[in-house]
Amino acid sequence: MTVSIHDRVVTIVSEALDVPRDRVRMQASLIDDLGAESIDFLDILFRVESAFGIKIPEDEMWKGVVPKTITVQTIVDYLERRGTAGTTP
Amino acid sequence: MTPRAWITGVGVVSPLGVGAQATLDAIARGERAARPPSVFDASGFRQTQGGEVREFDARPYFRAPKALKLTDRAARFAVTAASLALAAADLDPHSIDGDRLGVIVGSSGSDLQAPALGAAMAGMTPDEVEEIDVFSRKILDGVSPLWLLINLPNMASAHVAIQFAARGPNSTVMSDWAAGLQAIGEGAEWIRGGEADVVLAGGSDSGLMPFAYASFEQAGFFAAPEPFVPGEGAAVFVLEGGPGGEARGARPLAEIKGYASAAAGDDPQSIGGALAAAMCDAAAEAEWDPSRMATLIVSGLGSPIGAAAARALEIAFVQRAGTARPITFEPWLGHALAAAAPIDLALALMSRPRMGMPLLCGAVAPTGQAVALAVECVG
Repeated sequence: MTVSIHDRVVTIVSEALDVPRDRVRMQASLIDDLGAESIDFLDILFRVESAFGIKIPEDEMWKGVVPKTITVQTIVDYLERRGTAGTTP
Repeated sequence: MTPRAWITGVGVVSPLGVGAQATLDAIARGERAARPPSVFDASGFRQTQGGEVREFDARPYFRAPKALKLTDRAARFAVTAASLALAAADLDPHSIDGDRLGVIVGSSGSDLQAPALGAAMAGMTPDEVEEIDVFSRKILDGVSPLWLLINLPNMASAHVAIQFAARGPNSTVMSDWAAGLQAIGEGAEWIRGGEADVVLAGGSDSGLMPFAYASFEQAGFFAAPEPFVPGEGAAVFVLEGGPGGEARGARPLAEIKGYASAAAGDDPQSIGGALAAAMCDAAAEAEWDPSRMATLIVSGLGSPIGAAAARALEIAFVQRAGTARPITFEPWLGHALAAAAPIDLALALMSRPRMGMPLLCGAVAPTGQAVALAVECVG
């Protein structure tokens, strides 16, 4: 069974930031709402690359986005634009 | 007036318990830690057992649990032991000036997450390993960006400082098996030198990894008649002195009255002599007569270098007094590398009604580095 992109991203962010899944809402700011720090962005990037089997060149996923406005939606939208399928757990 | 370096709290994480008393109670019940490790498969080595800290959850001891992803086992043990030591000392670290709170931890290093590195490099040809562009790309693609932060040897001291808002002197000691005891000695020097009012000092380490087992096997440690049993754990001490400690009415367990180190230099046969020299020097600083020492705590006696250490101590202490007896808790716990001597000292202090005083504690590493502390229990 394929896990949706959204569900997989929620899992990644929940594990990387050590927050419960129910707090990882689509519009949650990684910094303001979930307590992400700079090292966490590197961690999330690596986990997304590993989970989806892709390479994300030079932080393309949030390049040009004001850091405090980066949300879970930001990550999901990027993956959908890349045409990335959901993952098999 | 030179501040005195008191021990006011002790925290232990060992394969037989979280806490010094829990560990002593398990030893009193006759429990032994050695069994096949669960953290890696040791079945391919001559030594298939180890002293593992099992079912250990460090989360309750971290103010920000997210930090756990940046820690290895040694760092988790260190933060936990420091938390226990502060509680035992009845000291809230946030109640004192953080600029006067120091941290120093001894550890022998990590295995650099060798399995993860190996997986990242899997399939590489020998030529590709030599090509920096190819090699770096393989590592960057296959290893988490957190890898370095997890494996840097200074991270135990760093995480303890972060957790307890310690902004005073901070250091990491890496003199192999002598590192933990040396950290305590150096921390006591900070107290006596007026650089800090409180110091969290100790050792934290883990020998339960393929890297370490391979090294011990190559060195012949597992071929001895009584095979060396690697272990892990931590012991952290709250050291206090000066106006801060006295002002809050700290109740010391003991005073560190002597600290010395020595090395075998270019003569590997002198490892025992280095240990004896360090212990005699520490006793001399404490103005103790070595010939009247009753209790010697010596880590490493169960290792292949233990025989040399025991012979040197026999000459330095036993033959003079006839009463000195070297002891260690390693037969129950395994050898926790840099944390072994601090754990021995901590358990001895916490069982002092049966141990007697003063306590002369020594540690020697296969590298020939030796450290000793003269610790006088306070009745």
